[in-house]
Amino acid sequence: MRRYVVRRVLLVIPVMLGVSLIVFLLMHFTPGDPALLMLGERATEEQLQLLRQEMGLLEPLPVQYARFLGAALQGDLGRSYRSGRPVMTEVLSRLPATAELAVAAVVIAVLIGVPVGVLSAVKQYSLLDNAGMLLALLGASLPSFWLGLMLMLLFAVNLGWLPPSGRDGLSSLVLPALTLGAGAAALITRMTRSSMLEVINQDYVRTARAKGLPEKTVIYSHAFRNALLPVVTVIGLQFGALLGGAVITETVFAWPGAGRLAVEAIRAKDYPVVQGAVLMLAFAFAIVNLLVDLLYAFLNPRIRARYK
Amino acid sequence: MADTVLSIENLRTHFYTRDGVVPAVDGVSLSVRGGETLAIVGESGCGKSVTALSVMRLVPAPGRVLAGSRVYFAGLDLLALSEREMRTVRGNKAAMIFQEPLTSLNPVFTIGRQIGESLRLHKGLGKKAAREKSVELLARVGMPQPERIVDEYPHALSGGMRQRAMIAMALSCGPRLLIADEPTTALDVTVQAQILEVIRELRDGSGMAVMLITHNLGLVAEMAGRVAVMYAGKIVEQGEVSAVFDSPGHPYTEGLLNSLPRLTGRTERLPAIPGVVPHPACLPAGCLFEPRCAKAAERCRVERPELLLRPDGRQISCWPQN
Ligand SMILES: Nc1ncnc2c1ncn2[C@@H]1O[C@H](COP(=O)(O)OP(=O)(O)O)[C@@H](O)[C@H]1O
Ligand SMILES: [Mg+2]
Repeated sequence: MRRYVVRRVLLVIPVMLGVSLIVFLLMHFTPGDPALLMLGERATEEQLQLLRQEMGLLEPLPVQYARFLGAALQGDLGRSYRSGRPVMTEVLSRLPATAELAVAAVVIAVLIGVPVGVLSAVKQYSLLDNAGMLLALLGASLPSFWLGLMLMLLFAVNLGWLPPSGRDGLSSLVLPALTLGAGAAALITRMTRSSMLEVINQDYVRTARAKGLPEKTVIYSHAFRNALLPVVTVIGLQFGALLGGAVITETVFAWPGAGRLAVEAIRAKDYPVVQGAVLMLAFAFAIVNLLVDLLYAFLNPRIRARYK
Repeated sequence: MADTVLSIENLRTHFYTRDGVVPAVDGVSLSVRGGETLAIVGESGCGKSVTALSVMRLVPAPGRVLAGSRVYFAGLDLLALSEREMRTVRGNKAAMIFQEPLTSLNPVFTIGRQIGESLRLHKGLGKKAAREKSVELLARVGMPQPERIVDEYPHALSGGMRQRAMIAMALSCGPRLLIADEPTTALDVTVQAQILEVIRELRDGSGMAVMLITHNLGLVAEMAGRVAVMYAGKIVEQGEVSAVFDSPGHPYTEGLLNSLPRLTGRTERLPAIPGVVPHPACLPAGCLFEPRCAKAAERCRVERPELLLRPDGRQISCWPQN
């Protein structure tokens, strides 16, 4: 198991190198002169050239990348053009809000998706199964900005039960988390259902019945533990995707997260912040995936055994 | 003579599929005594497994055991039991092992946990006691290094070892009946012999009744006292193995015996029975075997013979020849 953990952790390095390179190149080839952005239209050509030199923009690209990477490794992602504060500080101050939203969304998605999926499979073709699958179809196909606006309209504007936007306590978390988690809930429901259906027909489930175990134990202990394996992977991937996908939901609900920070920064052409936010979100994504893989290995004796 | 442990009377199990009713088992009667092995033979699709699953009341949907069927086991009318009562029989007094050792064990639980589960359920053993008993059982079925294997997961075991674990599981609660559905089909010959030896020892030691399902007649000769030959959901011949093998009374039995490989001479093409088992949804009007029977006469085409008890104790369903 330890060998597996080490291998899996080392795998994060090339992934992050790739992401950093892509982000760096994208920023570099985006039209617009950073020096001009910082000094404004009235700066003289001399002043601009001086700043470019100071920022290292005149050096060859690989050198610039190496410098960017070296600084990033020490936690220095540059400074915001707008506020002048370190990008790291800006992003870190927003990351907890995004993490909170993503975690809440995943929790909601799992709490809905797993039970509905299991019940749908156990009672295949029943009313409950059909209703569950219809909901899953809706959840997967509704665009999140539309769903977000509808939820906001119903629960915040019409019923007045929940705040329409902002981040202020648990009640303000409900609507954005529901909006963000809907798609994941749909996916997890379908995955759980199909996984359960497959497992229920396995020979070892028949063996469990032949032992005289009650049907509840057969389903929830013998079948469920096996059905869970692919579901865990999907949950992990969804969690990662939610970190990045929070951009729209955060914008709709004015949620002060890293996604919205990136959107604001793009609008203001604040490239270091865009770069930093994307990099940090990608890093969070990689870490979450790492944790999921480790959990999967822990649940699956075959993988555990391979790296003993 | 030992008591009858299992007695099946007129068992009919049909599958209600979208394409019509499939009479997978249609009027089977048989019995097994303690310490005895009854073999059930027949080509694939004849209803052997469904007969076994009917006894355990594990027939999958859309199958149903029809009213009028009777299964008596150790003084119980199994088909009349509630599901809860039936669960106290399954895996406890009546155990079953399956053909597929590779997939019949749960991959995410250790061998010890899976054997111990029966003991904890039926015998009320604690975790530790169940584990100790599991080690003991594994040793009894000839598992090498039982103390290590008990904590292994199924994927670490070979097919033969997994089938031993299955047997240990089936035998954990000291059943009066063991149903073995093609227990060695997927295994190679030496492992097969070892597994059979284990079953035989346990049968002779504890007076357990064994219902051995197989399409391997060599295995029948070696293991069983009596044999029931099934064809298209019915028993066509039943009797002592030695008598049936010496002078088969039904052309189908004869055909099965003729297709046995002999140890003499070169490997030549065996005279298999021509044709295939009829689909249960479109059975012939007369004798079920008539379309494939070399000895079929006019009467066989129109009238279906009953399974009749002959004076020598043999049951045969065939019109008297000549
Ligand atoms: N789940 C099922 N649905 C429909 N028909 C089935 C099902 N299981 C078995 N049958 C039918 O029952 C017949 C007997 O099957 P089985 O008892 O498994 O044969 P075997 O003698 O090879 O063990 C088969 O011909 C098959 O058509
Ligand atoms: Mg079978």
